[in-house]
Amino acid sequence: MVDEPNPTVETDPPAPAPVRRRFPWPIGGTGPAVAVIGLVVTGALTWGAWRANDRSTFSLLEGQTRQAAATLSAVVPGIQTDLFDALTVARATNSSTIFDQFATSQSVATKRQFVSVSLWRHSATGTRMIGGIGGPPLLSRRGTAVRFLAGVPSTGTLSVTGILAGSPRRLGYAEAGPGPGTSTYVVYAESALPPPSGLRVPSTSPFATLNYAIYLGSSRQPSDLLAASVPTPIRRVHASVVVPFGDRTITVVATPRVRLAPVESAALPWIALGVGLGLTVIAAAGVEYLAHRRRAAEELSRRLDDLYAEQRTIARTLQHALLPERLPPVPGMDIAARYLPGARGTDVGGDWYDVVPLDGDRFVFIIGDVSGRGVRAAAVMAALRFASRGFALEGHDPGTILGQLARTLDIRTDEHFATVLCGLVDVPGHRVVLANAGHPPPVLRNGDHVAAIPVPPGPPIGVAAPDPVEPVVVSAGPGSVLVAYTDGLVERRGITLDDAVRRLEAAIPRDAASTGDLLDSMLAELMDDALEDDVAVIGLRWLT
Amino acid sequence: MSPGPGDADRDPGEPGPTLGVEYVECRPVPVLRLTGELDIASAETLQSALDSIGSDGQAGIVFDLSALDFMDSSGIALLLGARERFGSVEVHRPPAIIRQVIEMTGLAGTLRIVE
Repeated sequence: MVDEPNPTVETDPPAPAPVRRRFPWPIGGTGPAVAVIGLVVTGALTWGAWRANDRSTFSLLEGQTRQAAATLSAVVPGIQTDLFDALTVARATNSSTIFDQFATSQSVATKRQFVSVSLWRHSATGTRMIGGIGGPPLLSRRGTAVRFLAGVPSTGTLSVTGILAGSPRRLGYAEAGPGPGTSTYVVYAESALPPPSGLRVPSTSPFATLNYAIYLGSSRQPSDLLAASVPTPIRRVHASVVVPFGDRTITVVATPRVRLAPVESAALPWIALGVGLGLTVIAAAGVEYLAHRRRAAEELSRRLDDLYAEQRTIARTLQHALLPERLPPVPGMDIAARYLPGARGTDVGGDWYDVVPLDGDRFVFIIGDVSGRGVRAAAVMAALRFASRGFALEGHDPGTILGQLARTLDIRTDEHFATVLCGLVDVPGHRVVLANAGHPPPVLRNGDHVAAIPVPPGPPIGVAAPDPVEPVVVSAGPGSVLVAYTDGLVERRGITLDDAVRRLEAAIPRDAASTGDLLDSMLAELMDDALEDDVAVIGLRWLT
Repeated sequence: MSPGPGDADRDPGEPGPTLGVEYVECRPVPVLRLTGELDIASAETLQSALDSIGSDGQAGIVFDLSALDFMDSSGIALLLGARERFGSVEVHRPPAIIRQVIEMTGLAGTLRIVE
């Protein structure tokens, strides 16, 4: 009776954990987001720079305007001095004639500042002009002369009239001082004003860089406009400075006529804008690039996972191809095998087993373990497997088979060696001839009796054998089972091989429904922790 | 079987207990004293140590295994590789657990055991 051979060769290696690298990137669509942030920041900086530039430009304007206004104010002491000198002459000489001479020589002829200078005497009886040059003052034509001149204090402040209409317009100045008795002398001078737009400004003057409007007083009435270089009123952003002018004030309103600030300062907002935009572009591009790299890395990680899966499939396929899924049926025997891959499951291992029926009564079984892992070990294993099949089919005994196999492999050139156990089974004769090249001993359970069969090991295949391998003959009673395995089953830390083999002996159940069940039960008991190494195991059970 | 010499496509092993390799002598032959465990994870350590020994005319190499706790077939593979390179290998005072591995693999004569 032949039990359906069902060596369920479990060749699925465990999947390794896929490598996933997590990037700490919280934002998605980051390139445009960075661009927006960059533009906002650039805009803020540019505006800030523009404002700062504006402010500094304005304070520059203010400074210039103040300077310009100061030049107007500085005129006053000169006028005062002239009038005071004239006053002194008048008081000293008490003569209007000499005053006239003085006035002519000093103020009118040389400086041409005044077009009319007159001396008045103010007393309890009234105020009247007693001398003068240059023609009648405009003030007297208006009829307000007496009132103005009577009110001139003798405090040393220059009294200034309003703008006197005329052609040309005039401005009047008066200084008063004590006269004979209780009277007061008043020196009054008028100078001509150019038309409002007719003021000529030297290029060195502070006014040269300004568009200005100069008003008498602080009310900025059009009638008070002394001079202006642009149409008034000035509506653009302007600075306005009020300075004292005698007992009045002068207001200067100015806007820049030329660039007041240096080019670099005005360019600052543009620089901020340009640099900001440039940085924004770079940052956005950089972020997009990083996001792209991250996507590429994730893509790569996905592809790695796929490759792992593919490699596991290849390994599984190879394993299926190299290890027989179904062992050939042998009359009178129930034969099963199991293969358990070790922890490193992506690589194919070097373990194999084989059953080669010779005729109806005999077969050869082989179990082997090639050193190393991977495709090269698998290739060596395939070569050994097929060579050993060939030698077995030629009818050689196990010792010879191993001896010939040893000639096909050389560790020095092939860089691998293999431990192999070979047995020739006589089924009806209940006999097994065993030969061993470096392989762990098989275990025979014969009813209650279970023991490892010491088959003296020669060196592994591929290592030069000093002597021919000695075969061992074993008798197997009816129903006995021979279990052969690879060293992954007995290599354990902290326990000698002898003890591990004894443990294996104890793990073989006495009764089992099939050889497959027997092997499964045995493995379940022995596989307490994770295997590092592959395990292959074959069980040969006599049915009778 | 665990990786042996010339096996280029093995997986990176998990970190495991370390192997100590002590270079005791070099005349007349190099003597390496091994401590700890020699398995697939630590085989690299011994391989590097062997590679770094220049083999200028030295005939043989000695491994002092008295302090080695464990050795599997990857260790066997390394010892065989050392035998190829240095001509001969002596294994001194292996503990029982290691001696049995050498004997089971039929290499008691090839790797000369010296007590």
